Amino acid sequence: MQTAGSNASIKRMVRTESFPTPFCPGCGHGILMGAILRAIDHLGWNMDEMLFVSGIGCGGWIPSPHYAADTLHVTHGRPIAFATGAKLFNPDLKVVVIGGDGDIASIGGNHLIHGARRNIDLTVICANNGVYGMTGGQVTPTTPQGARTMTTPEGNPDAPFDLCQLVVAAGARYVARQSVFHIRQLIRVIETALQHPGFSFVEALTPCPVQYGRRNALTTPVAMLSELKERCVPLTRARTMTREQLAGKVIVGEFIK
Amino acid sequence: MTPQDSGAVDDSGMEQPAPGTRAVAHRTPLRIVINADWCKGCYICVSVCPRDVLAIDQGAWTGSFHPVVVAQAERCTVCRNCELLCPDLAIEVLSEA
Amino acid sequence: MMTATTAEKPMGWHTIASVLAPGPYLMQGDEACAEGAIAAGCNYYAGYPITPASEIMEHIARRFRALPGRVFAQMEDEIASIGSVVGASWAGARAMTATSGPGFSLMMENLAYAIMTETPLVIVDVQRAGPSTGQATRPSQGDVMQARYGAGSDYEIIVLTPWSAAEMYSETIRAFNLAERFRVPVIVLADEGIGHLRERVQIGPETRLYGRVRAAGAAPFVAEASGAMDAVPPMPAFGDGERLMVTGSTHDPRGYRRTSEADAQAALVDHLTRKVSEHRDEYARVERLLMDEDEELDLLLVSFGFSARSAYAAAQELRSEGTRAGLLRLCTLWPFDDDAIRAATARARRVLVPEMNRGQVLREVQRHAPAARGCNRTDGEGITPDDILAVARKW
Repeated sequence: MQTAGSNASIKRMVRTESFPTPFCPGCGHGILMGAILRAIDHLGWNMDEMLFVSGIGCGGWIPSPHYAADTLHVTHGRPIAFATGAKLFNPDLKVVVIGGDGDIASIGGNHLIHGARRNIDLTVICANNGVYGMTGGQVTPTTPQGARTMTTPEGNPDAPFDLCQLVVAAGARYVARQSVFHIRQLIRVIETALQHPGFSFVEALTPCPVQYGRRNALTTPVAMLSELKERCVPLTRARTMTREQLAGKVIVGEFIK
Repeated sequence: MTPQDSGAVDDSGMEQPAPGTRAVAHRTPLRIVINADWCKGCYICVSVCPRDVLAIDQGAWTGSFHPVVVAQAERCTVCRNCELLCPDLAIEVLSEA
Repeated sequence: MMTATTAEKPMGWHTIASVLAPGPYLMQGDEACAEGAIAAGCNYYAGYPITPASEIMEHIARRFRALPGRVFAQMEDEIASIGSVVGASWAGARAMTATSGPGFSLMMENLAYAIMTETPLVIVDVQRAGPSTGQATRPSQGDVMQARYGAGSDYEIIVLTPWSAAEMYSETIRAFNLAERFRVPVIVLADEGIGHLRERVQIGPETRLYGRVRAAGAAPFVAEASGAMDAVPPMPAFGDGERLMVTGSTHDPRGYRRTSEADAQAALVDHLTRKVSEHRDEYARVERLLMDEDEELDLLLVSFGFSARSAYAAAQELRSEGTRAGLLRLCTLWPFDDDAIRAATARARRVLVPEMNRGQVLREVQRHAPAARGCNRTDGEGITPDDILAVARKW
């Protein structure tokens, strides 16, 4: 009997023939891949009750082909739309959408806000690494201002979205952000999101060492996790901090529940 | 383990239980297994282990990186930081509980 | 939005009672299309408003309220509409969407996805004058080529071209059956003229339907055994416990991605074409009007949809004047009926193709009859019998 949430336990929830994964060494999406399975394992849910719908990009590869469950790997930006059809027709399916920040918030932005507005009973997990990794490292709507990417070689001139605030405003019923460094908190918010009725949204900060870190002076996976540890501020503490103190920080926690 | 139970401090820096008692929450692993086929040498596990259990074997080479080895299994308290932060499910801390 | 209860899903051919009471009805074309979908067991509809197809969606929205187990959703755009139709189809639904030219263009990526994943669904395109926003309330037949090739790359697709309100009902039913039989999207290519006219539709007591085949444990894609590339694999649903891997990437019969293997890509493209093209007898349909199959004609008219109505009237006029004229009406437009066209054009001195575009079907006919001519109206007005007679008499 393996401990729920341990690697020995969640190994039975993956297609082992698809390992080793294609993710780069130290990929934050890989950590998130495990975190989602650990949450499902803690809840005691059966993989045969689940439907994972994912988009295009490294984030879309988290469930497909790695999860031993029904998986639907769709067109770029559209997993929430496809998931809506499946869920509306068969409400017994436990539907989880997984996509990167480009997929969910750039090309998929319209479906994100309408999914939240409609309160479809879905859990959307956005693997946010601030870059289009699979296509070589272009800028996304969540790339930090000033960051170097393949399409912002002099530094990103634009400010990024606060994805969680966007989704709160659109009407989602559970919205949380955590990082893969804060792994136990991340697993907990995923468990809460999975159980929460209506549209639940979890933004997971997942470092991309090869396509982002390498160009922004964070050359190792360990360095990127240390940077996350420094940059993340819990919501309760953030409420006591000034705007100057919060500059460059990212707030983690549960924004609406 | 309560402060009243504490005895001498050993060379690991951890307080050891007084003779005849044992630490309340101290767990030990049966085995720590690194899957060499799945490990990609990112070294996150080595970095997040609070007990120096894992190490990078600078003397060995897999063909693309120095492998991670279990250097001090007896120091492991089954916190599973390594498991939780491994992007590849490449390490298993097997225990009874 | 309503949710569906789990319904029984008969496989293969079966007959059910018509949803509407049998008898004559006066229906608008769009309305008849919606009723055809209902009769065909459509239990998931998602759409977005667009002239001149909105009436289909509105009718479904009203009617589904009284029909248990059927889900209606107005989505945020056409891309989400067809995306959700694919998701619902994989959850086991008989699913449809309807649109017009600009919306049809938006749907192309997800249409390609449906083709690649062998997802049954029905798309109705009620064509209007274009390009782009064009004339929203005016008819055209400008999407002929887009319906066949718009998704890009290589595949075979089925496109039906109704010419009356009655066919908007019956051909929508046929579209559902062909979609389920071949696990392919089927397009009902109508136009504003057919969509908005009102005509008598006779509803019979029963409807014959085809339900997709399901088999536990079977590989859901391509064809497992070589040499069976024309076979249609069984299609399980999400929640059946099959742990399906559905992806738009090139894949093997189980759904594993094979994005670097040439043999996997070759097999997939071969299968997507041959599973339809090698079963012509199941979907090919033409109607010969005012002509026998072996008859030698002085003038053969080849037409479809709204244009065929005027072509029929023109052929009748010519016959009354003593010209041996006949109409070959395309009911299944794609795959193109090369056999019927080759045979008919070989027995005709002149071949004329009336259509409301600049010659999209004409090009196909000219592959068999290079001297064929077109009668082309592209001003947003319906093509008339006089338009056709003017060309026929000048020749």
